[in-house]
Amino acid sequence: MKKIVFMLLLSLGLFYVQELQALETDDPFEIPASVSTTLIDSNLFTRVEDLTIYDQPTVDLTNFVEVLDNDRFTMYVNPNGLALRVLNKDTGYYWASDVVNISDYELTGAWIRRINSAITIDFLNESNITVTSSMIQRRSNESADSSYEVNGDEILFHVDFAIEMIRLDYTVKLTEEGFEIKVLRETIEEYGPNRLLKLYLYEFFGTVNSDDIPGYFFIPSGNGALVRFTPSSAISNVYRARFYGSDKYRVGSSPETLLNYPVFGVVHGVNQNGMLVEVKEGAEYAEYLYTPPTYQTTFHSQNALFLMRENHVQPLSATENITIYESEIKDYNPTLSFTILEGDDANYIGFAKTYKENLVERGILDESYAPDGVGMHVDVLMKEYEKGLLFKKNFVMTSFGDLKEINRDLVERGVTNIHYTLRGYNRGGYSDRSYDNYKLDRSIGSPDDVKDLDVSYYYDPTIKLSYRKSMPSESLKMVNRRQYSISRSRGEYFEYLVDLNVIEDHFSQAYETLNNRGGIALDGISNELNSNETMTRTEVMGVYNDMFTERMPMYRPDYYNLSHASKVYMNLIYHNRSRFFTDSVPFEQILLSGYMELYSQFLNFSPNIHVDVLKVIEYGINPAFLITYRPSHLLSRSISKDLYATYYGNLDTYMVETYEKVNEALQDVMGHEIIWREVISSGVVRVDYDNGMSIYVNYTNQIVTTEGIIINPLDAVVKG
Amino acid sequence: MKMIKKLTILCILLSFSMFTFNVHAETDISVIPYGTYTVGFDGDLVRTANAYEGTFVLNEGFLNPEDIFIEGDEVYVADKGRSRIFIYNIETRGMMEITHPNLKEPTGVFVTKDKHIYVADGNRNVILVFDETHQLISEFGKPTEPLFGTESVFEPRKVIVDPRGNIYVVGETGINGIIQLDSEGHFINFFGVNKVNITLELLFKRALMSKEQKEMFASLTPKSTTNLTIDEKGLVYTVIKNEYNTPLKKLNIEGNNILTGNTIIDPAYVDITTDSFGNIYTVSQDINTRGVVGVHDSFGNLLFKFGRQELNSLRVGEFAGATGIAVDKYGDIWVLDGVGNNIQVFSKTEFANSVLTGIELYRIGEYDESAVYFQEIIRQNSLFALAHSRLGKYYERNEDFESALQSYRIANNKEGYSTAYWEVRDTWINQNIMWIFITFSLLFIANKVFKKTPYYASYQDFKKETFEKIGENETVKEVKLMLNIIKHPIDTIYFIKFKQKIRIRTAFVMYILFILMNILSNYYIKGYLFRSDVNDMVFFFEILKWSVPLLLFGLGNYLMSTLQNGEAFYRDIFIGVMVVFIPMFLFKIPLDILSNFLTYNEAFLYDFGYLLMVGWSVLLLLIMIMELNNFKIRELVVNLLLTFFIMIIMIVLYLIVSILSQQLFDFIIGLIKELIML
Repeated sequence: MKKIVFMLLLSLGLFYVQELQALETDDPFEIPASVSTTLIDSNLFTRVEDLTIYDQPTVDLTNFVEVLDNDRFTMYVNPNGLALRVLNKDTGYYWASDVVNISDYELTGAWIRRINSAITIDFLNESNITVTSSMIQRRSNESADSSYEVNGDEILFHVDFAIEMIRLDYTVKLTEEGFEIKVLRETIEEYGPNRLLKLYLYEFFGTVNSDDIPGYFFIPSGNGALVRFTPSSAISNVYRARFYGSDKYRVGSSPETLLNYPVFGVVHGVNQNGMLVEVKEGAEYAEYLYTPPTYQTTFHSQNALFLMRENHVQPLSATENITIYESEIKDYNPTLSFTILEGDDANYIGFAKTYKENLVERGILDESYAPDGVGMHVDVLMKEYEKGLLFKKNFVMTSFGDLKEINRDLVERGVTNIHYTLRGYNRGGYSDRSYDNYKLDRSIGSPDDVKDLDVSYYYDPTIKLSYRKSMPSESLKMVNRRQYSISRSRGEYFEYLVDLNVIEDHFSQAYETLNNRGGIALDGISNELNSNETMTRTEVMGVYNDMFTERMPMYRPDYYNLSHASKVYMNLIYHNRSRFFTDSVPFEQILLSGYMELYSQFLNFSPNIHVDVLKVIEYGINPAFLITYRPSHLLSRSISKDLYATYYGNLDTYMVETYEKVNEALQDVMGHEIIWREVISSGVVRVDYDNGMSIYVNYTNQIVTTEGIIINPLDAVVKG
Repeated sequence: MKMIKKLTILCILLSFSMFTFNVHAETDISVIPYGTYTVGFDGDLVRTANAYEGTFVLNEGFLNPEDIFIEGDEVYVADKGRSRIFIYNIETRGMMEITHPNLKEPTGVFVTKDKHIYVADGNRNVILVFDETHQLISEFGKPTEPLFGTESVFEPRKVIVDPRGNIYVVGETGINGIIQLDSEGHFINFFGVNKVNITLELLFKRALMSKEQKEMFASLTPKSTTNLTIDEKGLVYTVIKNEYNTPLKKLNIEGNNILTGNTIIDPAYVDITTDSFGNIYTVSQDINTRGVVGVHDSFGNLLFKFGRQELNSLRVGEFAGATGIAVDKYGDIWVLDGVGNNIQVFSKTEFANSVLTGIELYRIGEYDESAVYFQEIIRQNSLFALAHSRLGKYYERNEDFESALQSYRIANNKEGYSTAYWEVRDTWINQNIMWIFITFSLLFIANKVFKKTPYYASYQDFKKETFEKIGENETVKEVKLMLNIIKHPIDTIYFIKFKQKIRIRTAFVMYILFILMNILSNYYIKGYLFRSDVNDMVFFFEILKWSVPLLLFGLGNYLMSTLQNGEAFYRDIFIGVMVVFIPMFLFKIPLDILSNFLTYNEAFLYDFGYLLMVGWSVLLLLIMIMELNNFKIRELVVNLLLTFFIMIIMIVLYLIVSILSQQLFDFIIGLIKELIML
């Protein structure tokens, strides 16, 4: 009996084979693409420009004294409060740091005094309360004492807040481009018990009441955003963003409002008058502030305020906290540089072009790194693992052999100039990556398979991931002695930041190893600027300067790393979606066009595929994808579960089509500079290049005929 | 067990939470401020591409608006703080408002096809009706019909009107259900009462919970409906806040829920609406919610959840406190933020368009066309479980059962997998039955032939020799004895007790084997359909789960037995507890292997086999206790009850000790922290 049962089972078992195959779908069918009309009207696109001519009402200069003069500008100062006005002789437009006809508006006395003051300070008084004080006070004997001397093209101002017992000097220099304001750090003196916290320098340059002036503020959020002057605002609150992001040594959490470039701008009358402001020194300690008209006044105003002392919250016990301020004032000279623009330069394109000239002059942008033809960035995830009951379940998502296959397939279908970056090649898999783990894992094959390809190795030394909440020894300890850790996926795993000192020690070795293997693609320190116990943010920038001996491809580099970047990966095509913004503009793409190879954010995660491909074409950048050879649902229980659509088997046709479309549109203009961009009608845009070619893009669902060109819905046309 | 688990986690975490600073953040791959989620394979929320993009914000001086409704081109907002109904025209962008001395605090608004506006006034507790010229034509207060009852309160907060003109009112506290009035305001009926299922579990929970907990989780009074909407066909949809069983319902005429879909329970719904395709849109208000806006298909399956609640929200997709939701003719979603005092409008992305089109095609029965869309959706997000499930259904209809199997497996859809597997197995058997039969016959004949050959004799001798040699081993003897328990339990127990034939170390090894076998078999061997939630298994906790009850039982039993003057030694009980599980040793693994080949139709086989196995062991256990201690039946029963009692006592003791030591630990850590600060 037993024997019979046994034999039956044996024979059954011999035949039964069960294996779970990957699900490969067929080629994607042509699903008719359409875009929602309300999307085109949203702030994710640029509006049609309002080119109304703005005539400035006569400016009353009775309280002002002329102090400086050159070919293009004349500068006036109001000795009471030190407000500045600069006249652009070519256009006859006055730029004022106070509001030009302030008596027309209903303002409280406090606001009028603040607007007329050149400097406002925030300080900590003896009782540890933060007090704000402007130069002009209600009782004139309480106002700050001020004086100035003119030396050639520069004025030296002395300001003494006698009651608050803080004094400082600053210079204003008039140049051929505009003017520069610089606070001299060595002159800042606190001769009383008060401690200086923040410095508001000429806050109200470019302020506009409601929608009196047609124009906008420009904010470099993402790749660029505009805030047009409207009578009301979407939110009754201010918009704050820190240049280069928050300092994670000090602040644990922050909403992601960060600006990658230390500039902002204002346009009064599009294509008439504009001003680009650069935070020339101290951007790492400056905060951009935009105040909308529904918040306390009816004005739109923007400025960069300088933090002289930062603070943090120190927990004493489970329930008690105290706020601790830095003991010394930071050591830097807050400097703002204003470039006055007119005519066709008085818009965001002019801002980009002007700023580009500066960057070229400083050697940050180098023409030899300009792109040569359309390429594609393919980021490949190699190995990942999933926690099992006893053992890790490893998934080799793409081996070197697989990569060779993928490349052969793409090349056969006409895709050339592909740049590969590999992630997850390290021992253990992608979730085990760290600054010291970059040796190749054994299971992914041999790199010889891909030695003919352009392959770089992704290296992000700043973070470490862990399933446990225990702190790795090299992680960054914040200023409040707490570990910096972010819990992801609702506490399933944790992310730690690595201390820069540790990264610094390892970097040259990692750089050499990865370079010998094929190249390095840097992330993390390309856009993180965190100080630590021994280094300030400025010193960290210096460390980066020393570490990066040659240019290398970088992911989303901030401005201070641009001079070390040979290619830019994960270039953003939108701003960060704040409700204040009214338009999205490609400031960054115009800025870097003709000088830097730009690759977009990964298009396979895009929810609006057709729209985003058109954006890539419109902005003149290269497409990018993050892929795996095996299906992405295998990752569904690993740390990389957010990579939900990477399967090459599904994406290949789409990748090839995107490349063809982008190549067809951009092959003659890649590497050339964008000189003009115009929104012809809602959802129809034209971009002009320096070689005379233009690209027309139609985002709407209808056929558009414009300027003699017919453009199909959701399509682009090149005109030579 | 959960408590032990919790406590152990607590102790471990405590040692590491000393110096950590916690923050929740999004991933780096996308830069959207809010994530969009859909239902993944394990029934949890997984990230997906953005379904909706914020397009604009309407900020027109609202003050705590409570409700929003869209009819045709017009958006109606019940602006409570400003005592008005605000009207916005989507096409012309024109704005109007309705004010009236009788209108104090509009909290609910509904507009019929002929542009009559029904408003629930939460201050005066009346329903006001305005006509298309915005003139007040009627006002209904508390119904006077005796059926309504004089004790019942009438506090209208939300109102809808069905195609026949009947008015449905949701009140502040409406445990009787939705109040149904006719077009004149006369009371008809209470509709759609929420039920409370009184189960043993519920009563047990009530016995253990505090007053507040009882109200929230185990209340005997039905919850009142929070908000409601009505679709084109006249079916009513309701949402209930703070409800953990079915917070989202689609009611039939009898007032019963007819939604069958797979959704994540969200206890924070505050408003609901539908579009012309029957898709359901909800909005939640809670600081911990995973997504403020939820989009479901007409079956109730969750498609998308997105949006964050953030008090000082500055970015699109962040809400200070959402209170209302409406959908316009373009499919754009209008979300009313009652705390932030604005309306945010969201448009579908191409991805959402694919999903909704696929869902719609499936709903109207165009399965082939819908399959195209589902494949596209999988291309864009391979974690979209619903798409895989629907695709599996499509393959099933086309009789491509292999592909259906794979799709269902990926989607973790067990019912579908079971059906498809049945078909696959059937096909396999049909294809291979011939070969199986042939192989079997061959083996049988070979065996017979082998017996005839001379080799058979030497094989027999060889067998005998080896068995004898093995039989001399102590352990083997013990195992043989243990196996004997199946046929002669009482004899075996006698041997254990008096002859001490089974050593302690053998029993110890068997304990370990038993625990390992159970854990590993459940994880690795058990068939896919019968596995329960293996991904959350943590090895350490599994060991605890199996070993603690066994050991506690053994210990408790021994203690009680001695009190009752039983004759057993602890050693005997220790060994005995293990020996009685012999049936499980023998049958668990084969049963689990068998479960790989069963479908849900044959689930009874597995369940029955399992029951038999466990029941047999329990029976043997009872016999063992009785025999070891020489108890009578009555003493046995007493012994068992006391054993369980003492097990509970031991657990409680452990909890007390660990809580106290945790406090001590806390105190010391706090002290150290303060010292470090200095």
